[in-house]
Amino acid sequence: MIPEKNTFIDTKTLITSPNEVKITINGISTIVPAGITILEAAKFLNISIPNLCSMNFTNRFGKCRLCIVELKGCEILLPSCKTHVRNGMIIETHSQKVRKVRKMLLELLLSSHKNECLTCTRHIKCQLQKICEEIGFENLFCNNMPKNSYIGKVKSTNLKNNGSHVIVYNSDKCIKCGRCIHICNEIQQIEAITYLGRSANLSIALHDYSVLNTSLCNSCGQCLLVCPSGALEYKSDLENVWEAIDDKHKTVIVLLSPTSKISIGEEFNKSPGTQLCGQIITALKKLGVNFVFDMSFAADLSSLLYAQELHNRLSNNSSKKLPLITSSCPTVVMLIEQHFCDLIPNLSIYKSPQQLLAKLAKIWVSKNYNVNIKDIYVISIVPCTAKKVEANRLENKTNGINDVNYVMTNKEFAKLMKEAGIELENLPTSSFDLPFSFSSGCGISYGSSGGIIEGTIESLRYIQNMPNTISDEFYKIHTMNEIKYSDFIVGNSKITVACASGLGYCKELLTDLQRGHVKLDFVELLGCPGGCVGGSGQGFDSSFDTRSMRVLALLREDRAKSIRRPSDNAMVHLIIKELLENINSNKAQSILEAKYYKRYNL
Amino acid sequence: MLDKNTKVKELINNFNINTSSLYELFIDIQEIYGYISDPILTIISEKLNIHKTKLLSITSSYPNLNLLVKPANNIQICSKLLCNNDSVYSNLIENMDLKTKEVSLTENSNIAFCFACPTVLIANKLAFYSFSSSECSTNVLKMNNHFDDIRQLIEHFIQKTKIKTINSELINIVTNFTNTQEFIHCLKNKFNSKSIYKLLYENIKNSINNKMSNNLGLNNFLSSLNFFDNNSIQNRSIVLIAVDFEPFSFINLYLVYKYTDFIILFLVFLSELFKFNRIVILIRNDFKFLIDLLNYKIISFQNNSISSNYLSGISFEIKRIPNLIIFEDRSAIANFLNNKRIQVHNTADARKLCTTNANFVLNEHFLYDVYDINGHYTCFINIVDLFKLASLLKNIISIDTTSILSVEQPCFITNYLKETPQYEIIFSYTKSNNPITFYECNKFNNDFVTIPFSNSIFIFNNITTNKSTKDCEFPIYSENTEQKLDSILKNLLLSCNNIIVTKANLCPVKFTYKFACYLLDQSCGNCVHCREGLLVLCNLLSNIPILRRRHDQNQTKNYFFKEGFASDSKLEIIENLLETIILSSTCYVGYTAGKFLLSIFRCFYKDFEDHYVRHQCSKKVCKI
Repeated sequence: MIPEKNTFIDTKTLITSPNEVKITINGISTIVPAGITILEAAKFLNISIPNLCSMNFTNRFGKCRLCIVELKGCEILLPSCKTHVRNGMIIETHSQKVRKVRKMLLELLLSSHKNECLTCTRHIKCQLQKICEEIGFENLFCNNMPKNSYIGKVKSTNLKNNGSHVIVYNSDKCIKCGRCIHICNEIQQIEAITYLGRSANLSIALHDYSVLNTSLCNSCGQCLLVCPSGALEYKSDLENVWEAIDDKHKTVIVLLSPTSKISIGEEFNKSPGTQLCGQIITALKKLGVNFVFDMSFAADLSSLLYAQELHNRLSNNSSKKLPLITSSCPTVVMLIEQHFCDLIPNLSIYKSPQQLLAKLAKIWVSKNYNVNIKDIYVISIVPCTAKKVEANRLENKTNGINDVNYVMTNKEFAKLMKEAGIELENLPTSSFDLPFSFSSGCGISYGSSGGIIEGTIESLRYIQNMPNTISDEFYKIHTMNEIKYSDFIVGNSKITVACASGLGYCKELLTDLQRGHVKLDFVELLGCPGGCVGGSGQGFDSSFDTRSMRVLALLREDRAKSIRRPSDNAMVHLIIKELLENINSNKAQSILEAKYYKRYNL
Repeated sequence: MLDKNTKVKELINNFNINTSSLYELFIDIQEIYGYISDPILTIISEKLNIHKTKLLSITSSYPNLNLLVKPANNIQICSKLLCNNDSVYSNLIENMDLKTKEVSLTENSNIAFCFACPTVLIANKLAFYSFSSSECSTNVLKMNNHFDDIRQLIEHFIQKTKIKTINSELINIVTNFTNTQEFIHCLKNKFNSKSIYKLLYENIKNSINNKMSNNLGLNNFLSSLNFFDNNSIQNRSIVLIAVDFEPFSFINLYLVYKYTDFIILFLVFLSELFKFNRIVILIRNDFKFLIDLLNYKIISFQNNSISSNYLSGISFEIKRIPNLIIFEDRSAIANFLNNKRIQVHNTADARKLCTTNANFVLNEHFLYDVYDINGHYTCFINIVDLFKLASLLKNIISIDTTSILSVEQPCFITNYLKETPQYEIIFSYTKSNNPITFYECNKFNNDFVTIPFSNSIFIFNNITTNKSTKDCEFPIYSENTEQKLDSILKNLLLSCNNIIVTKANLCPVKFTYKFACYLLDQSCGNCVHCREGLLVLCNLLSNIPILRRRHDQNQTKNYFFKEGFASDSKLEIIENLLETIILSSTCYVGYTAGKFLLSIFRCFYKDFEDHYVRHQCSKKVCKI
């Protein structure tokens, strides 16, 4: 009794401040800050209200209505994700009335959802399944009703997408919660997805809508991560990969990206950041892959190239403009090609690490093993869906064949392992094949925002014959902020840099550049939030915590390396000498250079 | 093509974000091209700095805007509830050669105001409307002379009133004006004499006396105008109220849009004639967009708020009317007026009403009174009535409409019904805390109750009883016209203050299905309970064995039972579903849809039982 009295007195005194309100949820009265929603307030009290359409309390559509609560004195039930707390509210979150209506609403949500759970790619990881478990699903009218006798009036606007793009929309499974629209329009700011039509015809339109060609999609794939049902998927290359592996006449090369090394473990129920690199190589070798190369090597090479280009541009040898913008991320390249045509000359002339390595690996293998280039298959394992589009770009083909033949995401690799019956965790470790096997620390941290800047600055110091500074000056660009400005002293000059992650923030930085609000020398742009660690080919959990755990794992490995600077990687210099003669040679230019075009659609 | 392009360019260039409307722009462009094309959307998005995908979602949410090229001769048939448009459909196909590619036939549930007669739009112009399908087929071939334009309207007005002296000047104005505002301005300048207004007023008054004598709201409005005519009061104002404006009776934005010209004209004419100092609009929160329409057709598009309003993707902003009072619900309006009301003058009828009904429903009481608000003597008119008056204004000027009933004059339906015995009137009431009383029982005619077709509420005297299925009360009449009312009660449909005119022997289950389909079309589709709930309901209602038998004649009887349809549990599900829709709605569309359907369901529970449990149709409409 006594503590109750005390709390009561406390509340009375506290209510006088305008920033706090007193509410009662399920009989427990508390004081919460004013301006928050009921859903957030319930979270304070450890009461979980089921919800689908809201994510991280940022978007409040109130569309799924599963979060309804009963408010005393109100006839209807209110969506708690949209209703703000007011003083004196008495709320019931799980009363009989609420449970009954919530159950019915879940039934309604699932009435248009195709029950294909066994074959669905989301099986077990599906958020809808979880909610069904929480609320209790009775299947009143889903299965035993013929589908849509009303359908004569429902226009068939939503076609299943089979275009050249990576992302596939399956309208049968869509519950129209609007999460993908929110992340595309508000956070990534690409605005490629929208609602079309109204009432029963309401559908979600992707780039392949037949009436209007509004294909603005950059294939960043963030919508895949937030989709609660399996409505959005990407095209899988798994069958082709199997074909390539099974063909004994082909030489198969696998490129493993640094971020995949530490995030593939999540597919096998390990905590984020578990290093499984050695096991992956052993598993691939077991499958019959001839070579497994490290993509961090390409990162080192690419750091050197960026540094060389930046050096050229700074010393006015080149007519090209400053700042230099990185071309590593395909989504950013597409963004600039679509919306910032003025900045195309600022893009680095060199290809992304994946393409560089694929090209070099093919040449090296064919040269040293006397294999026809046509018989070499390059498969890369990346945490990204946009790389699939990049691999299919016209300028990344030689003689009509893709340099990177197939691109696998983490999920596809995990499926490959399961289909092959390999228990990844219990395998012995092995190392990458020569010569693309060594990398510096910088090459590893490419996956997190700020990694490219570190590598490039270090390489720039090497080019200008500056001493190796071992200090913690790069920690300030390895934070989890979205846009980071900084400057580094190289020789006598000061180099100002900025890095942004997430397409929305990239857009912000680019518009600033276009309008001349900021003056920079070097800009690193990565399309996914937090860099490649937030990539869409990884596990569905892409929260801030998961991303920071991945970043920590990358940095841990980075610092553990004995070679810190990309320029200290002797193999890079060897390969350049052997295959390209010199970085600035004509041969190097023809192999390494990328091309960009203005484009409206993709 | 070049002319068209320059026209569109002009339209877009003159378009101002602050003062004009996107919807208006789209409609104008569509009138030029016939559809809204991809390049036009790009141009507009660049001009307004709105992303194209947002524009796309807005255009696609309006049924009247086409994103695809449609044949020039597009015929739309109203697919509303009660009228059998199947026969209209087949008649049209028989009579006209519709198989050619130039003509397309589509169904559209958003055409007409009324619930009773089939309507057809040809090339976006109201073509014909009639009760019986045989008339339709003949009339569609005769269709001519429709006055959708103010220009034509005024020309006919001149011809009819024979004002020859000002004829030439008027025609000059009429032929040269480009928008309503300008036109009104010109009219005001040129004609200081009230001759035009007076004539118009007389015409309206006569026609109301002749044809719309049953409409209480209009009569009282006119009587309060009389009050202003007789007294010399300084401050006068007119108040528009939008209280009983059920969303599904006006959501057809296209027609409202078309009417606003007339309403503005009418308001101008009223203010000229009676020297109203101001026009106040009292509305509920839900009806804000109506004000915008009246406000010289302004629908503004706010950049960042794609809200979950029931017109998806659009939010409205109030612009020009200064004296705007917005209330949250009816009782707030009633309270506001009750404090301000003074008994000034009344016609005898209205006075009777005021005094005899102790339990009058507050919200319609102010229809026929003059109030003193802040020193202004104010008369009231319901916006629904205003729409009717405006339509009347249109019809006075147009030529004879004796042979064909007009959709715009729902009031005539009752008159028409007297001559055609296959129709009956079904009326309704709400269950509220106040006992509902029926008024004007003397006016029962031989077979029909002459109830004005309006959703302003009518009070019926002396009826209070409790004969019910489930929760709803049936009104029972106690005096001498009891028997006649009984016959009406058999076909009673309950709703939220709506009166529905329908055919006799209408199967309520079929009606519910059609109405659910209609409501589904009105839903914006953002929330689950409205979109999926009504869709599931449509499925449940249409999959009754008896109804399905018509399509599956070869199937044996066992088929239906095996499928598991139409059992007791289905009835439970329907009821739960409707309750869910009501409880989880936060907007007006979902809420009223649920309430309406639930009241029908509970009232006709026996019929539903017949269908779902015993597999028979008591009205024998659903044939086996």
